[in-house]
Amino acid sequence: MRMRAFYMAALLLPLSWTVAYADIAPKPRPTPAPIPNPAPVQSKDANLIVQVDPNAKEARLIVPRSLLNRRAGLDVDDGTRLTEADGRSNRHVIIAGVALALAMSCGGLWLVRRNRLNNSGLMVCLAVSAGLIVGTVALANARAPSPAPPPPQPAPVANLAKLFDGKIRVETPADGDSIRLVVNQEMLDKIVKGAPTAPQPKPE
Amino acid sequence: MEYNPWTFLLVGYVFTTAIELPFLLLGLSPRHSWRDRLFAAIWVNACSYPIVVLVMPPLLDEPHGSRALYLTVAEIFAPVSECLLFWAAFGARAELWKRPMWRDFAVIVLANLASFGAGELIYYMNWLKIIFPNYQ
Amino acid sequence: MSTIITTPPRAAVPIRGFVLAGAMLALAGAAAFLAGWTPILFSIVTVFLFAGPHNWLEARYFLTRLPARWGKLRSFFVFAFAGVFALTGAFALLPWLAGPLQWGPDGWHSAVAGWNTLVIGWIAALVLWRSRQNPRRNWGLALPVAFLLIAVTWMFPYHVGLALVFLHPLMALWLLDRELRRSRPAWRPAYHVCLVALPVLLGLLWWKLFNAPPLPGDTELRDAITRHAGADVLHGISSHLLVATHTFLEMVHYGVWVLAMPLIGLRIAPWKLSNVPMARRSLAWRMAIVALLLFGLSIVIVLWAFFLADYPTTRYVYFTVALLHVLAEVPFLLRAL
Repeated sequence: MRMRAFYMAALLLPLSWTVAYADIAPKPRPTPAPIPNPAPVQSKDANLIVQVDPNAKEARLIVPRSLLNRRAGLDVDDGTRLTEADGRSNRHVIIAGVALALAMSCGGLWLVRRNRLNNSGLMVCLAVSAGLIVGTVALANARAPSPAPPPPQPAPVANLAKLFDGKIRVETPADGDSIRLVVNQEMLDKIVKGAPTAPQPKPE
Repeated sequence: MEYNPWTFLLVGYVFTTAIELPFLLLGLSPRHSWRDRLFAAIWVNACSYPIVVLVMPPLLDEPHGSRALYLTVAEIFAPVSECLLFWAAFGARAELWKRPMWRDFAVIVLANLASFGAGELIYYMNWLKIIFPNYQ
Repeated sequence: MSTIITTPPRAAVPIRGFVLAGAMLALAGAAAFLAGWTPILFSIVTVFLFAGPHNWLEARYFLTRLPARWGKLRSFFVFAFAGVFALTGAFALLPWLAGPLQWGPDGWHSAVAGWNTLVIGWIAALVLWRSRQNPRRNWGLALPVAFLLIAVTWMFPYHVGLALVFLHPLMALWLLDRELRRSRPAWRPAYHVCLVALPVLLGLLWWKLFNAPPLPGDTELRDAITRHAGADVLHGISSHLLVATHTFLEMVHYGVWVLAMPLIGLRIAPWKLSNVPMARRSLAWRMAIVALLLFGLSIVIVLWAFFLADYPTTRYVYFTVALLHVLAEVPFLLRAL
């Protein structure tokens, strides 16, 4: 009778939860469904200010953080990360981890305190552990996941004149809403000199 | 997190339990039955390990952040929480602050140090790359 | 509430139990055939016909199970009904919050997992509360199971919700079993034979449809029905199979509430109130319950009218509001155990 009550209690919660889902929609979900690996190319409109600083030793590109959707090249989606991209961030893993630890703690205390830790209880624990070991071995021997295909790159634009080729310092201040390119006079002259002249209209 | 933390949880749990099991089986005070010792070895690790592997790395920003900070916090949290859980489950009021209690706690701490040492050995020998090619 | 009744030997099972079992088997078989053959149409027709009436009959059944005076159960029922309304309100708010809060996949994941967590916590509290009431139960395992479900739901909120959508008829069948045990114990063996037929019919559906071509999602309604059955979560599984399975199980759910429960649980015409304990308290209470039931009946008729006028929108609104009666099943099931 006690074992029956034990199994009934074990079944009760997950099954009683199903009541909550009777004939309702599974859940409101974003439409369309989350894309596991969205293409990393993102865009945002912003002001561009070109400033000439006579004292500048090097060119500086200043991009406010509010304009950065992601940490650019530092944050590569190579298919191995658990990122927000698949709707599963670190926060979710943290909450799941805490809940898992609490489940294990409460379950173990319940087993011991309620004197359920008899031979069959221990056998269940060992069976679960054995399942974990088998799962682990299976995972460890599984074929390594093939690398994610490279993200689509924007098509190269042909025949762009190169106005400036040199080192630039990239800064990402916390404030501001415009992108600023700071150059000195020498660099500006180089840019202006390299600019192609606009085609003149042919005389009729 | 350049590896799947759930895979790491499984692999690490099995590894840690395998290291700590002999310590708890042989070292815990004689008043505990073999069944209790076996269960304790499986259970206390199952309780502490999700926190160490799933919760602490993102909070302490490991592996990109401070590995030393992560290790310090994790290696204090694990034995302390395991001692508390062990006592909550198997402690007896008659043994409070007495030698068997300290012996049990010492064995749990020792077992954790052993698994920590084995884990560090694997880390420095770079054997983790065998299972987690993306691990840094 | 629960009564100990010994089940008589099988030889004494009255023939009426087998008649009911035969009718249920025939209904289940027909539902499986129609769900497999024309799942979208079957889904549209069954929801149109039974969505309203099954809610009304369910509410009517719960009235028979609600004690006249709550007494020591007052806190339990107050907490239960507060949870029902609060959780339904939160569920209905999710799509409204998504726009202003600019939820991406991460925001939706958190919102759905958070709502799931609230439901799990509410049910776990009710389970532990109920276990301390008479007849007392040893349901301490509910707490670790609740935490385990919370862990799973934060990793797979959509999959967890979907799994439960497909499992939900078990709840109606479980409630029916409790009602049979209470009022018609001699019918239970025949009923248990019927239960065995359920996995057989599901197996037949899956065998026939596992590689069926996907259903066309060419209209908003078709798209909504296939998404409801999990086509946007379970990639790689035929949407025909998913919709057929969901529609079949939903028809089983409707069958329990529209046919079996009135026959077994009510035993009198639903408009007669002699088996409603609260109606016996006073004339005012009786009038209030009559008003409540008439209001429910008017909702059923209005729902039919709206279904005829704009089926897709009404279906969407219905499946959001229907959560109210669905959550209400939890405390009543717990009281029946």
